Amino acid sequence: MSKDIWRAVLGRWLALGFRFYLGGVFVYASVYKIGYAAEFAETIASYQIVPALGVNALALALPWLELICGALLVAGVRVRTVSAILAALLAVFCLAVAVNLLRETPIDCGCFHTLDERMTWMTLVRDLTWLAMAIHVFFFDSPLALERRYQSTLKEIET
Amino acid sequence: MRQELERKRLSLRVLLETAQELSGILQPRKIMETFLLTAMGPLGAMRGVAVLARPAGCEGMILSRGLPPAEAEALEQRLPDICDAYFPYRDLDADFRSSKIRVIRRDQTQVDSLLPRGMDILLCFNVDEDHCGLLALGPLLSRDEASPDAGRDSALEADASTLLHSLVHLLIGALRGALAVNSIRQLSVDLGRKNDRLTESLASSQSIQRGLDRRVHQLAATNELAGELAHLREVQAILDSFLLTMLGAFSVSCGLVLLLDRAERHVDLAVRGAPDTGLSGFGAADALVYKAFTASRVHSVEPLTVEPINAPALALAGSGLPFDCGCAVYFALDNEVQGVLALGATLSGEALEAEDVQMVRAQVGTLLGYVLGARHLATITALNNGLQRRNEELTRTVNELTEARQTIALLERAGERVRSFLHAEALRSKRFSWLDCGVILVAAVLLGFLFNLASPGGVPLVPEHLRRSPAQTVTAQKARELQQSEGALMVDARPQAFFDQRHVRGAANLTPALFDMVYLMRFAQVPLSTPLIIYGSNISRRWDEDVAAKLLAREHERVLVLEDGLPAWVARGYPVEP
Repeated sequence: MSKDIWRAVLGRWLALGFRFYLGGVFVYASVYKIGYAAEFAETIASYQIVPALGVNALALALPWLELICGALLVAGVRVRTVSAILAALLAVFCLAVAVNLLRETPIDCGCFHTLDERMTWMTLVRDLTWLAMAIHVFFFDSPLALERRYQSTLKEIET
Repeated sequence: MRQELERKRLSLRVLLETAQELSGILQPRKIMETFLLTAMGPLGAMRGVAVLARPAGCEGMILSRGLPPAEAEALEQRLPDICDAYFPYRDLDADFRSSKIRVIRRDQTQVDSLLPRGMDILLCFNVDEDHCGLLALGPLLSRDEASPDAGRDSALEADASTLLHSLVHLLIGALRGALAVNSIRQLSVDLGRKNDRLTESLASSQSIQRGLDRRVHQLAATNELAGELAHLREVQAILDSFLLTMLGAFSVSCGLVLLLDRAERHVDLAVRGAPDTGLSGFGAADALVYKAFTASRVHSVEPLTVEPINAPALALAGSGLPFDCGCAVYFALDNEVQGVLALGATLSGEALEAEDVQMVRAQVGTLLGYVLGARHLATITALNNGLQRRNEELTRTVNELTEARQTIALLERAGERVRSFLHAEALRSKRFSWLDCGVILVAAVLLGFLFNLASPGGVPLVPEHLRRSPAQTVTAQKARELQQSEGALMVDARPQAFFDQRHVRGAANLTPALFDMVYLMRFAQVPLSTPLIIYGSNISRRWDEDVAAKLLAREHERVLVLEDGLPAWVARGYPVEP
């Protein structure tokens, strides 16, 4: 019994917490980037990974992708797909951070603000933590999902 | 010889006198009386009996002369026996001629007791086909009383026999004539009687003919009525037509027919030849019908009852009839629907005969049939209309149900689609979907680009340096030479963090973001002819090109971009710091 409780706590309810946390982080991060697209483009350029032609386009699309995915994750819609996208983004971010840490590029993270603190290995650890959270959310079904409402409605219709 | 002549003359004289006596007489009885009176004398008979009979009927008359009254009366009583005894031959001898005279001897008869004694001469003769006669005479005066058995043959001499035969012939002739005359007279009487009967029959037949003519007229009217009523569908119209026909058929000046429906409190009234005196009202009509019911002596109201009312004028008096009623009939369709037919006086003033009343009764029976039919038709029509209405409602309902069923089928299909969609969505929500990935990515790209278009601080999709002509470049070696020979200024266009990490010795940090401010501070005094060698680019940005463009815009004459940037400078081993 207690085993089941722990399994639920570590599975479903932890996934719910990760959902809210990750969704909030990405929504919060996207707000600044959407409002200051030029500065975010400079941040992307400072990573020296994206070709010049794709920097501005990425600076325009990536904040909205974060906003949509964060909102959907909080709402509990298409959780698995969204968590997969976020996991992929975080993986890319980790890679970019790791590469630039190895290059010893003197840049900020640029995750939330233009004038962020300097990127360190902790930044990579943080991103890896978020990546783990996204993977957890991917594999564990969580309660309080908006789509569950559809499913319960569907069951009511069928009965 | 002379005696013989004398006898013949006497005989002829007797015959003549007898013929004269008999000639004017027409009654057979009188003839026979006269004959006996005339013939007995010449023949010398003391008694005589004459019988005229109809053997077939054993009837006739017996006349006697010279017999005591008691014997004569007894003789008359024996007529049937005499007929049986002396006229049997009529049944046996078919060849017996009518004029044949048979002389019967007394010893030939077995019934001497029928005739008085002493009747020696018996003659049977036939008068005509129906009548026979018998003549008995005796005893003769010339006969010897002392010797009665001396000879019967001599009892009548030849002359006397001839005379007797002749006399009998005369008698036969006279009787025939009389009988013929009597027959003719009887025929005449019968004819007259028959004529009277015929006259009576003729009068009767004429009366019957008139009655028949009236019946024919009534029946023709009835036939026409039937034809008219057959086309009528409403009770009021039937009553009007019926009353008109009744008045015409029975030659009545005025009449009324009333039909009362107690269940619906409805009155149908037809009046002709008289004003309506309020009988169309239910109360007055009900009172009239009740009075007619009581007067008709009907004990119970059976369906299709028709009963004439005796003495209708008296029975229906005071019931509101607008005329003197000559004939009235109470009728009832059933317990609820009853009525009265009242006819006034005939045009001729005569009362209707019993047969006419019966005819009226029969006509009312016919009327009931048509009224019943009309009421049934009305009921059927109402039912039919109701059925038609229900049928239309049913059709409408069926149509609505069909439409509803189609709608339901449509909704079921839609629901099924929604359900399948929801199922698919539910399944999709639980698993990773590349489609969702694509949708989210496309949505993000579209939103981003649209927001950038609307935003005043938007960024260009294509870097600006790609839209300009590239600045003039210089190799690291040449740059070094220019730095040393002409005092060219090295400009680091990278962000400050990069600059701080490593830069060409003596280079100034002039980033595009802070260009205006830094330019004013450090490059405002630099002569426009001084070579400016700019470096700082990576895979993502060409800061050197951007700064070069800005410096050219400030009208610096020699703006050069270091080829391959800082790495080329470092690779040459030229001095950098820190």
